[in-house]
Amino acid sequence: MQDRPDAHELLEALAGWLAGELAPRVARDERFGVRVAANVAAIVAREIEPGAPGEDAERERMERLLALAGESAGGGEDARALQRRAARSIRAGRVDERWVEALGLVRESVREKLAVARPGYDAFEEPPA
Amino acid sequence: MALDEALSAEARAHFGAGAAVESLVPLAGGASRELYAFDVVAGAERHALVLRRDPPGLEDTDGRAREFAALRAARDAGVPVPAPHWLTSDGTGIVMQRLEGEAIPRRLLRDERYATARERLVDEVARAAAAVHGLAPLAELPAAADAPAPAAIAALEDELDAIGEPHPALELGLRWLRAHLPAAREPVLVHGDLRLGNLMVDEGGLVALLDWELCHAGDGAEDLAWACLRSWRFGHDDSPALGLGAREALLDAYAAAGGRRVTLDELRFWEVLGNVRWGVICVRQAQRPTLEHYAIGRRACEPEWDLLGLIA
Repeated sequence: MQDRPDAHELLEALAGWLAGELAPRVARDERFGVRVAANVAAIVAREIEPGAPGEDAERERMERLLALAGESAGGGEDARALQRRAARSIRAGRVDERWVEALGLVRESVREKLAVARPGYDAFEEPPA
Repeated sequence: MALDEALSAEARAHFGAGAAVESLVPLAGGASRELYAFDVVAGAERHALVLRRDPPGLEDTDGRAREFAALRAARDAGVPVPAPHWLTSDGTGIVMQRLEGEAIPRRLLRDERYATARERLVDEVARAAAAVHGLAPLAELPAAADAPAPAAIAALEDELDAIGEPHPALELGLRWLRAHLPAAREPVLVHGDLRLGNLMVDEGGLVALLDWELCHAGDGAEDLAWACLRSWRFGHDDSPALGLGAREALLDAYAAAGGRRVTLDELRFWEVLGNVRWGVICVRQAQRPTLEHYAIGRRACEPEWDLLGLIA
């Protein structure tokens, strides 16, 4: 067990220093690289933030998606394995009849990825057909 | 052979025995290309040129030959492009005209000096696109096995399978595309990466369409839709066309310039396909262990989100 600051706090501080302190002081052509580094540190900080949704939520969504396709998802499959099966089911047309529900579940998965990789991106939605 | 010696030999072959290379300097290129600026002095003439070439380990001589052929065909058809001069003797680089202007989207969208250009760009890009799409696919481009839309869907499915990482959102997009195929069309030359970041612009408007490396045989609507993707609107989410205008304005200008009348539904099909394609590109970038490529890998969820909106 480590003392505070925890890993999330350390990475947040690193991201802040890279973007706020270092980036303005490096040469223009190197600034882009520093900003990418700051962004990556910020992504990891959000990903390991205590209480951030993890694999369990995704596993549950993918189980529900497979259920829409009439497939059972008991047993010890991890979230990635379930995603793989869900992807195959979608490709094969097995969720066509439950399209709106499938969209809703995948939308939540994507929202969770955005919350880590690009917070705020889901504030805008492309207009539906 | 050192780069300046190789270029000097090629410059002599191209401009005559007295030609000399001067002021060779590297420019900031990007993740996939090296870029150099140089001049060739031949008698009383001075030619401002750039060399774009594959970095070591990523040589793609077929790709460069295609890009060079597309630049030449576009130039001959009156499309604004940097005039292509020669393919380097090892086939990994293209020497072309060095143009003056701005290509950084955030400056084009923000700076006062580009206010007039911003008013003109949607029209000018539509006109340039219509001219490109008036061209038959080049002999150098791989012939499609199918009409552009189903061929593009199959290629994306294959690529996703080859990478082997599951993306349910991209699969929903692909499934929707299969259910909404547009009428089959004869393939035309498509730029393949038409967006604000690939335009050279000055205060008066469009100078040239750059970066033809993704050119292929396809449907012209593909380019118009790619120009509308949210990932290159740079925060101007309510202005889909290049981050500058409405979809309808782009389609109207395209038809007025002699392009075919593309409907909003067709545009939507190709926007969904474009988002899937950009998502697959992000997933592919994540296979390369550099900070920049990894960071792009985590952007796959952006086009995933946008396509889910479009197909809702």
